[in-house]
Amino acid sequence: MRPLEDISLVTQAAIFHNKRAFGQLVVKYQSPIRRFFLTQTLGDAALSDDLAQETFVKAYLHIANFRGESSFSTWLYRIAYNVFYDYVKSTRQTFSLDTVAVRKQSTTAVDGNLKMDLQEALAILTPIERTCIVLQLMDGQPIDKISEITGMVEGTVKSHLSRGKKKMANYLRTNGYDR
Amino acid sequence: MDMTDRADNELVERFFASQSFEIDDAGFSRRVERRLPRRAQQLNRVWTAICTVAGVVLVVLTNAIDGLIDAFDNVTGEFEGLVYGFEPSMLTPLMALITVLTMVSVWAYNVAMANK
Repeated sequence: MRPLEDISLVTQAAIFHNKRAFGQLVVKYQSPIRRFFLTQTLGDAALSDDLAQETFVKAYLHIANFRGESSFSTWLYRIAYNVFYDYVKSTRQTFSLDTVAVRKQSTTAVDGNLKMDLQEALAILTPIERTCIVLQLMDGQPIDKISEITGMVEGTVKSHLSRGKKKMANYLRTNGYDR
Repeated sequence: MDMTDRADNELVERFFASQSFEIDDAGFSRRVERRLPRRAQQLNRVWTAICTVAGVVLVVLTNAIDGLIDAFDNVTGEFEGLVYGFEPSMLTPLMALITVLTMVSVWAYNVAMANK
């Protein structure tokens, strides 16, 4: 589906409240948005789906605010980013128990899609490094789009990416991935 | 970017390429659709009905129906005139070339945008 088709569907959803048009956007973007949350929550599938649903509902409610200055995908990721960090803020105390031990106890909630290697590699990053790395390397977003999504200046995004990649590379070497 | 940074980059990129995955919809879109609020849709229907009634009342009160018919006749008359007034002999080779070039440019632009 091309950007012009996205705009056509957004227009139908915004002006006529066409739920079927919006549904097509959900079908198209559900995988990348759920994957984004799955990586941010280190594999908690139920939480990821809740946050992804909240993202799409918010997108539907505020779709008239979409001006087309960026792509619909970037706009949607920006909502997803805000939904995730609102969640992190609202559960700061419990979310900071983000240790490997706690995660390993809750493996029943972990989705099989998120491979254990990736989950453990992502766990060594800070949340913001994880966000930047996933947006760039998993979702293929360029630095200017990551800056737009996160609201950080490009230089800060580059710093997070550089630090995150260094940490991950060290982790991967330690675990024999460079062979 | 020095050699170490480049090696780090390549290693991390290779790792992510091997870990890529897609998530099946498995009813997710349907669940989202069920959660979408109906209120906005109802408000939209009410607003559309109010505007339609107001438009009809305005047309009746101001006797605008005759004006609308005249305007429609004018538009269709202009179009008919344009069609009947067209003579193939007026189409010079230069005009034909410009027409073809315009159509090819529009087609090429659409193809380029579609592949972007």
